[in-house]
Amino acid sequence: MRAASAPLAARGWVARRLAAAGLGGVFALLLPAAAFAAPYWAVLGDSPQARSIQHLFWIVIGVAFVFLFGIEGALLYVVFRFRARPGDEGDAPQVYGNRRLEVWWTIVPALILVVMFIFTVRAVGEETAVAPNALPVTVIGHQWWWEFRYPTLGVVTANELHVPVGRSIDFTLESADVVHSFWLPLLGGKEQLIPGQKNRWTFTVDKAGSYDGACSEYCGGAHAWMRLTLVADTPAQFEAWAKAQAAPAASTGASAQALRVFTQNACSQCHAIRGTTASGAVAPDLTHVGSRTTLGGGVLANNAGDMARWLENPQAVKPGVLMPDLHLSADDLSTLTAYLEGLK
Amino acid sequence: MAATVLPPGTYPKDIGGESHTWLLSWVASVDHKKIGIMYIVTSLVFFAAGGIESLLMRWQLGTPENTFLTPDEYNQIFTMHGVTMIFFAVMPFLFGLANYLVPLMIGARDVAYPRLNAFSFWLLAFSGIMLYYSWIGGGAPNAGWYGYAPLTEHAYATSNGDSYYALALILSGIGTIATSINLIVTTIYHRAPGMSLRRIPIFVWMIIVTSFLSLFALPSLTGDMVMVLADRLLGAHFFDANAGGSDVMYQHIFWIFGHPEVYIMALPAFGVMSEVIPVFSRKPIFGYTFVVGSGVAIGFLSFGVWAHHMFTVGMTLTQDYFFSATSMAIAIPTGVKIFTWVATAWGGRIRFRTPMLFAFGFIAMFLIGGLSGVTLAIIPIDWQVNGSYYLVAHFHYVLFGGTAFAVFSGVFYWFPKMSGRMLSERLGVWQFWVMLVGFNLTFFPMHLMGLEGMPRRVYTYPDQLDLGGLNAISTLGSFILAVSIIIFIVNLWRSIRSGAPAGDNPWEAWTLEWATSSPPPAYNFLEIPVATSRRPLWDLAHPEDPDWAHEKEHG
Amino acid sequence: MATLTIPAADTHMGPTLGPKRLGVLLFIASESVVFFVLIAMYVVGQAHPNGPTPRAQLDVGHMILYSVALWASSATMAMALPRVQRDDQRGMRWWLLATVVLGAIFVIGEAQEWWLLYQDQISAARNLWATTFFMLTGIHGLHVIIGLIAIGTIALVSLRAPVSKSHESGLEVVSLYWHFVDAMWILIFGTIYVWSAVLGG
Ligand code: HEA
Ligand code: HEA
Ligand code: HEC
Ligand code: CUA
Ligand SMILES: [Cu+2]
Repeated sequence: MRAASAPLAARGWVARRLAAAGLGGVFALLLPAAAFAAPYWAVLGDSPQARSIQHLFWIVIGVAFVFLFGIEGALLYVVFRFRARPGDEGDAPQVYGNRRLEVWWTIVPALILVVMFIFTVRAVGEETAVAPNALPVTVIGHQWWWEFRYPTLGVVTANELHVPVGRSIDFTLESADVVHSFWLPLLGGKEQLIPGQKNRWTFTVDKAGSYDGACSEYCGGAHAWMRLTLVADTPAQFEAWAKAQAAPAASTGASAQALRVFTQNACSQCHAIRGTTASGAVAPDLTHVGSRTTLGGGVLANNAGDMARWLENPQAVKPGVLMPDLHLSADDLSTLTAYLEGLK
Repeated sequence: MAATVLPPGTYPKDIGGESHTWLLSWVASVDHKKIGIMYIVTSLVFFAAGGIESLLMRWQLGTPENTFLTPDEYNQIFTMHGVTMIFFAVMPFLFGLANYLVPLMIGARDVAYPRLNAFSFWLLAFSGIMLYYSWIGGGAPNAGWYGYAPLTEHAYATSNGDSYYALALILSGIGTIATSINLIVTTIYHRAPGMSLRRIPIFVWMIIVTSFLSLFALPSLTGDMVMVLADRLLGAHFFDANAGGSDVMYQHIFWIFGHPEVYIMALPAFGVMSEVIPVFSRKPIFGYTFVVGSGVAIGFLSFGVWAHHMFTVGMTLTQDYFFSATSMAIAIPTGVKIFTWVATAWGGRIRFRTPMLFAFGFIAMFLIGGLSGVTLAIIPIDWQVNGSYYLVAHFHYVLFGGTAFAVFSGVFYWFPKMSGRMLSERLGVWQFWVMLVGFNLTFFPMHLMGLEGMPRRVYTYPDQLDLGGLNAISTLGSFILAVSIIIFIVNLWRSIRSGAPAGDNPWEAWTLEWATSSPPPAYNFLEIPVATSRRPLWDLAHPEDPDWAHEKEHG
Repeated sequence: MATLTIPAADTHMGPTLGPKRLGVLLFIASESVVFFVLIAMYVVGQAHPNGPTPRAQLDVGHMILYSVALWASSATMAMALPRVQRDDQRGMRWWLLATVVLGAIFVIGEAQEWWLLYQDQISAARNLWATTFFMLTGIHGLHVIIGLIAIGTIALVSLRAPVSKSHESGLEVVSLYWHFVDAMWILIFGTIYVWSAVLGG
């Protein structure tokens, strides 16, 4: 029972281990925990935006470490140097303060922060600039799944987002119900999806592959399984994908029968399958559901077995989900499973 | 003008005490010390509740795709954990301590309005009970401690939980505002002769600043909660986006409260540090004026940083920059405090008794949380870590590593005053080390989980990357933490029954609360003491080198 | 037993304001934040006009009279205080009575305003404007009523136990609160009636 994507398995192994060793070394005394570390977005990043954040992160962490080790070191020194020895009952020499020192330790951090602020402004500029030829994509958050619309391509899909490598994406973020947040750690940052408001976000993926993301603003019941996958295709692959997705569902002899089952079981009240009469608008578009890698916001992989499990009782798979248990008969279940898996 | 200070140990017991039953003597009490203790006991009970909730969460998160809790249960539990810890454990503890100490420290017999004080406490107790009643009354709140609209709207939260939540926060907020007024007026009007504002203990200063923060921050929360209730119960549309309501406004109003709130939880802790560290270093605080001034500066700044919780809601960049800059600026006065404490200990003759151990633990751990706070204030970094476990790590380092360590420091320090008995040093040292280890095991890995992309408030997570391992460590750590808390409870229990007698001033401290008996009589001081300087008891012991002789040169 | 000498200057503690008045001033400062929050919500809500609007529903001419009554009650309250110093408890009671009557007129006016809206099927649930309108005027009205009860109580009690001349008397404290409630109405009236109803938001 798990999403089938582990995009990092092969890549970045060295970088990950190195960073783990680095961080691990730093905290080895403090914490054996760090030995397990694979600090994902802090060392990997496949968009200029993500790398810009990464660089800034390490600069700031560097400054923080100076203060961290400086002060923790001072504390240790104080502990060993100034602890009262046995028999040392009296008071210490009374020192009431030192104005010059006090002023210095006010000014120095202030100056450091000014520099950090300048870095911040620069990085924000890098991360928010949208290129002129950007591909517009609308992301709509629903409890607990993602709707993706490509207004210029006529594509509507759910939970799996495809983008072409090397092209800037101009996201418009909206919500159909409560506040969600759109986060793809390796591609840099996140932004909330807020009802009644359109937010913008952008990045350019520069490496083909599949990326994990998640809703990272608590949005009720099944927030944990509001995950998403982004697939970065080469421009040619992307074009082919978009063309296939824009097409209506393929219809065959068997599909007419399956569609009847689909309609009888009220599926069509919620779901749309373009090219058929099913045109519900409150649930994921299923026109090409067979082509996606996961189901139910990442809770299941997409294969015949998992599809059957989903349809049998989505509540058991993803508790709280807004799709009811429809008590499908065994026949209907296998018909629908085969049909939906066939919608590539 | 001359005045006298009685030497310790010469105070008669209560004069003409009435014969109440034991229970009534507490419930009907308007004595600031009894009320303070009731606050503290209440807060410890809620701390245990919040702690047990956190253990349930940790158990659920210990392994990937665990099914120990359903999502619905988990969501209620993390909400209750956050609300309980903030509003019913930390705040009552700090206000309880303030209640107990402020009159004693400034040489007063009680607070300005003793009955209002009792009213505040009972309001708090009542609202806490009401909050917990929601488990029975149809379900606990489940929208997170900041209950972002529209998740609390009736359409999305159909149980009554969020109504209980809103009501409980309104009522406890009123109680807190009343206490704050009480504490401010007390400090302004009931100081002993000689106790000028430049001489009051730093703890009292921090309480004053905290009280002003409460005064101006809590009504904002009240406003938000009243509107939530109106939406839920009267069908109003404040946060109904379909009717044009603004969910972003909810966030603004919440954080206008919410950020000062985190300093409401931090400043009294800073105050405890500024009392404990000098006494155990056997030196005066290093630079009183800067310490007080930085506390006041934090107070003012804290009203100008709220939207750093909202870098991901799509504000204009100018707004983002403004709030980023102010948030970074808060590092400056906070840094002053840290440097000051180190400088106070520097060159001291440090007695590492338990209060001092926890104080050092505080500096060491709060520093980590403070520095991670600065990373959050950097807008692009926040875009990554907002809503992730990195943030959870940040606020547990400041809240547990900071405030809770200060709380334990304060308990070990003042328990002898409150009860007349010492806590066991041996158990205290054990508690400290077990806690330090458990704390870091629990919360350090959360930074890494955040860097790996784990969102907060998820009841489970897929088995990928190293999340399973990190979470397992964290869960292990939380149970070690629980052991340390149990050691503490045992220590309390044993000391109350058979602790060594404390005497009036076991730590050889210098502020006025140590000038009376332990526990102090109902009237605090037989004769109102005189504050000859910031450290009246030092002057008493060292007439040859009194403190006030140094006040001019080191103002 | 040690005897210590302290400079006389340090023995004079606290401003002359007095603890009770300081307390109520702090309370007022805190309360005003609630009003600012609700006013902000009102203003922001105006950006989404659908359904009834203040322009169509509210009649400034109607409400200004009642508002003047409320503001006048601040003046009568200010007249009552000096009477106490002149040992004129009767005079004080008359002025307090005037204050209560003026305040009550305002409450009646407000109630009428609500009733008229109610006749048009407008309640807090109708639209965003109505939500913010009822909340703001409702919370303010509640404050007025609490003030009236307090003033009335003081006037009645003074029949038995005269109000003391102290600057810390209950009347002094309540008068501060009353001025606050009236002053808030200037802001609220300005926002609701002038800004949104006349100027159209
Ligand atoms: C006791 C409570 C407490 C304290 C003291 C702090 C202190 C700080 N916090 Fe924290 N914070 C919380 C409790 C607290 N916080 C909580 C509960 C949340 C989460 C709420 C939620 O979402 O549920 C939160 C969330 C939070 C966010 C929002 C993140 C997000 O939602 O995306 C931000 C962003 O800026 C932030 C920043 C800071 C900063 C800059 C400080 C600073 O005050 C820290 C200053 C201290 C230091 C920096 C260390 C010492 C200084 C020096 C040694 C000087 C030199 C240093 C430098 C030059 C860097 N905090
Ligand atoms: C001061 C505040 C405070 C404190 C002290 C703590 C303490 C702890 N918190 Fe805290 N936590 C918050 C404030 C606090 N928390 C807040 C505000 C949130 C955000 C909520 C939200 O998202 O809305 C949060 C969220 C939060 C999460 C994230 C949940 C999520 O996002 O899904 C986690 C996860 O591990 C966690 C764990 C813990 C743990 C393990 C402790 C431990 O330190 C607890 C240690 C205590 C114990 C273990 C108790 C031991 C008690 C006993 C053994 C009882 C015995 C009793 C008797 C005999 C009477 N907390
Ligand atoms: C009441 C509305 C409703 C009905 C009726 C309904 N669904 Fe769904 N369905 C949903 C929602 C909402 C989701 C998204 C769940 C989630 O991931 O949180 C969903 C998800 C799915 C998915 C997974 C899509 C994806 O990409 O993750 C499939 C497949 C599906 N439904 C098939 C069906 C079938 C077949 C039927 C009829 C037997 C049906 N649904 C009836 C609401 C409904
Ligand atoms: Cu959507 Cu969390
Ligand atoms: Cu904050």
